[in-house]
Order: sequence, then structure tokens, then C-alpha cells
Amino acid sequence: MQSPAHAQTPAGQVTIEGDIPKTVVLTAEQFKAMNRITIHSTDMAGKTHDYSGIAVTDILKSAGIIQPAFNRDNLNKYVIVRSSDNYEVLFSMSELDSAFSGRTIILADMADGQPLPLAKGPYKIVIPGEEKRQARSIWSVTHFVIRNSKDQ
Amino acid sequence: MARFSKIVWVRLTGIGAVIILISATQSDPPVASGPYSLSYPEYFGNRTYMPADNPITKQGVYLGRMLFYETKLSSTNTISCASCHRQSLAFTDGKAFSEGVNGQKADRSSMSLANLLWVKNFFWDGRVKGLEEQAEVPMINPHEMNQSLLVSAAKLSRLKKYRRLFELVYGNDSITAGRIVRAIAQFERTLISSNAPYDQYLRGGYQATTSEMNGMNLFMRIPDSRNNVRGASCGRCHGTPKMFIELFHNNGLDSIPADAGRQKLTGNAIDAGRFRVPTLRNIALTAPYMHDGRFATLEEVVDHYNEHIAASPSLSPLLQNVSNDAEGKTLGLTVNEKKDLVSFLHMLTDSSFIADKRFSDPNKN
Repeated sequence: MQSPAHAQTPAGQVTIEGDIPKTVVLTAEQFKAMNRITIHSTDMAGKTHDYSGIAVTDILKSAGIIQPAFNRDNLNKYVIVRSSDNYEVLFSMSELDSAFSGRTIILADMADGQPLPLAKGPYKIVIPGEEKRQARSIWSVTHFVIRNSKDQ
Repeated sequence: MARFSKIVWVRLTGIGAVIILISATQSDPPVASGPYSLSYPEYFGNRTYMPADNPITKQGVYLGRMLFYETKLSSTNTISCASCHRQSLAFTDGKAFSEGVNGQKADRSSMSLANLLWVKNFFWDGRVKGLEEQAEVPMINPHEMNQSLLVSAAKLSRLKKYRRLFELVYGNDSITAGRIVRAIAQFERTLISSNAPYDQYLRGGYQATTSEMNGMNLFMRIPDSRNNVRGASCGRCHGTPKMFIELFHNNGLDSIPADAGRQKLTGNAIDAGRFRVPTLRNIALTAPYMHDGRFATLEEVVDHYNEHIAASPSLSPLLQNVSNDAEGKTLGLTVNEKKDLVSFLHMLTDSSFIADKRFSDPNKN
């Protein structure tokens, strides 16, 4: 018996939802057509990799989300990134914006010129400079959920 | 038999709270009413799951407990929720596959009901959100209780005690599927286990043995042979004081899983053999282990993680390349380290939880 709230995500698709006018689904084709960048990052075993993918801010922009640098209200928004394995990690909107953090967090689909292995793909988050502890380098990303941190 | 209604006002010192006791007959015990105050340690955190339309009340919990132990909710009047979820076994039943009415077997092992307030997705494959929605499934399943909720509602409606209770909880004595599952869910949310030796250790005041401490450290640490750190890395899935992180992982039971687990829902190859990580609280009481109950003892479970993990494309990355030996292909724990790990697991047994009368069979009090 399946819950109606239990939306399945076909592989290769990323859903952007939450405090935005309309839920947006990014397909693998759309992802491949976006502006690709490459960053270097060291994994927990000490090996350095070239990760290639799309800046998270570009992905959010494609869903109509304006960065805090251009809309101060969005300074108090946050993003929950969820994996196909149900892992969830929180990012503040401003730390995703390189105008504030000085770094570009990407959603990568390739490592060292190859697609990511099945159990980590098709997309993972790579955070430049956050290599000592990688609990936020969430893999197999399926959802970006935008939320507003207003007082309860 | 004389019937009367009696309202007693009681002021509790320091709280100023009022308890209304309603007694319909001289022989029925009064049912406490009012909001139910959940109590749990600060280190469990408040990421709890409770729908706004089903707040927990004392009377709701009372009704929910009666329903949990009510065999009339099964087609043969022989099986209740408690048949496969026995308090003495932390609400499991000691079987790989439980038997329903007429002896038919379920297809996965009964899960423990401790601390479900912190769980979002239910069953081994997480296919259902919310305890309200979960409660219906075993009741209507032909291999479990095999009775539609319409029939259950009709059976309960014939009993004055249930008409009274539903009226107390919901305002009128109409008994419906929704009201049945909401009451059961309220009761289940109160099943909080937080008084094991490990909790006493976390709060200070428990003197752990050397073996238990070593086991605890192994449990929490990722091995790093370069820096002489011994570890079993269990905490990456079973960490936090709740002893689980709600993840769907393939833990290497088979290279080709007989039970596809979460893949049955999503159809995605990455979900092959993935199951929900359950809590390890009371794990010494809840054998046999895994979704199909294949391991009879904790020692077998530790052996599995130490040296029998089966590779497959969907194997959890957290179980790959984890070793106490440089270039090691398996975890590489010593015999004594395995024993220490099991000592720590025994620290998770909460003997007060399994004896707590608030969770027991009301027909046997």
C-alpha cells in the first residue's frame, strides 16, 4: 500500500520544491544543457578528484529562486537537500551564494571524467573547502526543498 | 446496576492542573482525560512526527492501548497488534516471519515499536508515512489480521465499552476506520524507550565496564589504520542516541537480493536490496535480525558486518573500503573486539520499557 505523499523520483531527475511558486523537476537532459564547472576536492581517503557539474545556485535559479545577494528576504531561507536513501542535509541560502561565501557548491554528475558510481549517483553535492568532514557532501541527490525560517 | 456520572476536581500541587474523572458505572475504572505529556531526553531531539489533526490525549492513548491489545480486530478474533508486537520483546515477537490468522506468514519480520515518534517512513521499505496510515495495513492484510476496518468498526460498535470510549475521545460514539487508527497511533507514540544503561551513561551515573566502553568506541569510530584508530563504523547508520539514522541502505546481505526492498516501490536500480535502518535500542531482545530474520544472534550480525558483506552495485558506500587493516578488504575486528561490541549492544536494553504498565495489556492488569 503506497502513500500518496510518497512521490517516486525516476533516476536522473531532481525535484525542486517547497517555499517557491511551483515545484520544478530538472531532467537529466536539462542538467546536461546547463553551464558546467569543474572543481577539485579530496575525498575522506585522501584522494583528489575533479568533480564536474552545475552550481547549486544555477539549479535553484532555474526554479525561479533569487539569491540573497539580490533579494535580502532570501537570507533567511534554507535548503534541505535529500538523497534517494532519505539522508537530508541543510544549507543556508546564503552559503550557497558565492557572493557571500566565496565558494561555489556544485551538484556533480561526473568524477574524473566518469559518471558517478550507481550507489552515489547520479548526482552528489561537492563543497569546496569542506573536506575534513564530509557529512554534508550528500550523494544520490533527488530533492532540493526550500524552506523559510520564520518564527513558529 | 446503578449508573451515575461523577465529576471530581483535583488540583495538583505546583501544576494547578485539573483532571476530570468520568465514571459511567460503579464497576468501570475512570479514564483520565486531557493532554498527554510526552517525556523524552533532550538528546533525542525534537524532530518528531505528529500530525496536527491527531494530538495525543490521555483518553486517546487509553483507547489506543485497548485497541492495540484487541483481538476482535482480526477475522478469527485471535490476533491483535500485540500478538506480533509483544512488550516483553520490545514489541517484536521473536520470529523471522510472524504468522497471521490461519497460520499464514508475513513476508518480512515484525519491527520493534520503540521510539516511533522519531520515524517518518514506516515498514522495512518505508512505503508509508505516518503511524495512522501504517496501522491499517496489518489489520487488513490477509496474511496478518485479515479484517477490513469497516468490519472492525462494526464489531467494536456492538460493545458498550468501546462506544463510551470513542465518545470520550472523539465527542460522539461513531466508530470509524479513521478514529480507530488515530487512537492506535496515539498510543504508539507514547512507546518511548530511553532508560537503558546507555541512557544512564549519557546522563552520567553509569559505570561502564572496560568491555562496554571499548565496544562503544568501536561502534562510534570509523577505523583509520594510518592513525591506529580501531573502529567498526556502526554509528554511520546506527548513530545518535536514538541508535538509528533514518536511511534506506543495502547492508550487503546478498549480492542479488531475494527481497528487492525499496526497489519494489521506486523501480530504481540504486534501491535494490535497500531497507530502512531500524533502531538498535533493545536489540538484545529483538532477535532474529534483518528484514527476513536470517541472523539468530548478535554474534552472527557482527560476523556479517565484519567479514560477510556481499558486494553489489547498490551496496551502501558506507560499508565499502572500511577496514582496520591497511588495504584490508573486510572490517578486520579481533575476536575480543567483536565481544566488546556485543557488550555495548547489551547496554541498549531498557528493562523498564518492557515492564512499563502504561504499555501493557489492559486485560491483564
